[in-house]
Amino acid sequence: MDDILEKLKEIVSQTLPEIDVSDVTYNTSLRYDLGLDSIGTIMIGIAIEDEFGVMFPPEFSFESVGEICDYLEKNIDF
Amino acid sequence: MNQNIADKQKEYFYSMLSDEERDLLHYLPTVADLLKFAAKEYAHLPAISDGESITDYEQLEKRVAVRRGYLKSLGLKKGDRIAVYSQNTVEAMELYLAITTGGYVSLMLPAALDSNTLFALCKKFKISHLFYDKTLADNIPDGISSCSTEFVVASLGEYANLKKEDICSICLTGGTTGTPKGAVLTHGAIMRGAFNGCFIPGGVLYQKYIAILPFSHIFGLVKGFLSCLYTGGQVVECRDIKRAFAEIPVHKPTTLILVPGMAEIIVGLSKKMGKNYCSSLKTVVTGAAPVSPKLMKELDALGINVLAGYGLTEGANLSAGNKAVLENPDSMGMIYPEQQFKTVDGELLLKGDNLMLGYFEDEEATKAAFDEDGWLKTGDLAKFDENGNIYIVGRIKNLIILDNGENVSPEEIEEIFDREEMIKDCLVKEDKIGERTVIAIEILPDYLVTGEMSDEAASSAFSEVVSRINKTLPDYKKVSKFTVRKEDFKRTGAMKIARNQE
Repeated sequence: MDDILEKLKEIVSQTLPEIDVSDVTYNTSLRYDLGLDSIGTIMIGIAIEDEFGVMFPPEFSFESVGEICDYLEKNIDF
Repeated sequence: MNQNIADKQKEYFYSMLSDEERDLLHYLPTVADLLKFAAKEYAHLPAISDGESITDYEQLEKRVAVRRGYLKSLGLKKGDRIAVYSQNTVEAMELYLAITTGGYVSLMLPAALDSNTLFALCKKFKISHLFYDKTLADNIPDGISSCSTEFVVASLGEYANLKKEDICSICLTGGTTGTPKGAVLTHGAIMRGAFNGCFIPGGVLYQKYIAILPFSHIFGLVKGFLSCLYTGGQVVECRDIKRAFAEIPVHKPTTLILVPGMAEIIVGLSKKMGKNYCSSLKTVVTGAAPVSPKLMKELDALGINVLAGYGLTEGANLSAGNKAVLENPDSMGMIYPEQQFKTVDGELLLKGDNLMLGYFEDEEATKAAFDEDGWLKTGDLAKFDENGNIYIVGRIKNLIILDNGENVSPEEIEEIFDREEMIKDCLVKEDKIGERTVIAIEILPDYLVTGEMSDEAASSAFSEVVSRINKTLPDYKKVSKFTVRKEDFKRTGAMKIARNQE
């Protein structure tokens, strides 16, 4: 799980360099802590799909970093 | 209008076009004229596509004629209002053209609407018939004449005999009060907007687009669709914004019409995936919200030419465009030709055939939107430099304009929070998390209800309130940041909260 979190932090800092990822944890909220709106989450979503080779279902909306980690853990093979 | 300024406006915009483009592109007064022109000039070029199959301009004109025949067979009469509730599909594109060239009035509705709002809007705008995408069928309320957007074979329907002054479309606009209003736009106005959209430097003809911005948004409809047809472009449908951005390397668009927040996606994903992600992209046209100089520079570094514009729904697409965003990033460029402008007490006023007739069946709001001589009051404070470049320096209307182009009225959100028992008063304003513009709220608790609260207890209690209310709000209206006040707000003489608390 920590590997996924580290990878996510890397993706966020690559696509949105102005966001300080040093404090990002499992509980970080995309909206309340990172200030991402629907467009920001689209960007992160595509970047994650590209990195992990997954495709989020259209109805999937993630509120927190932890939710993304959980989804990835369930849906990708390591 | 000062002749000198009118000449400058023309020179500024026409200098973006090549000789070939100047000879070909002229103002056409109705959507019917546009479709006939495009079918003749661009006959066998690709017009619209669902990403797999392509319809050329000649086929498009025929398919639209069949759809007009179907509209007629439904018993609809000229001037009837027909709504299309759909993502940006090829079906929605064909229907828009069939409705408007058949003499009916279109209302394009966002696919994100819930069933109740859809019903309310159909009633408010007296919709005679509703077309819906079949993926949205579950949201269709009872009591409204409706059918899916799928193509139905019918006998050919003729073009209506249209004039510039005929009503073409109603476009939703938020305005400063909560309920959306409908800007009533004539064929002449929509087509002025579409023609303005043809002024793009570096080659505007035969480009490839993905219709990312919703057609329910004037900028998406006029610049993101009609201007493309005007210039022989190919428009690829978009059912899902996320997929569209993911598929940029697949569809290889050359031009995209975006709000600034979306342009940021291009930049962000290029950083992650490398320049090849958007190597096909030559031009990005942005509008609906100011673009930061940083974003413009980043797009430029990717080899993407940016045209930034200023406009409002009430003026059918862009009213001003800046072709030199790197040299003059703070300006919105110049006002498009054939449009007059002036400032009164700093407020930008516009006149021209691009303006709406008024808000649909809302005399009071219409009266407030224009001055007594028919100038549209934009609510924006503007300045001009000696070359006629326009600078938007502030707003009279109390609106938060987000990076995604959405306009949010603080009062509307305050009203919702004010209903909470624990909240005595609140103030919604624009704030930042990092560099991102977000909606923030300052809450003054009703300490008679809550009793004494520690900072921690207040933070946790109101965090719960904010996330509960957020769940009921559309994404762009959600509050991202809150603070709890211990003391009352500064107030005006009338005891209203002073908007500026500093």
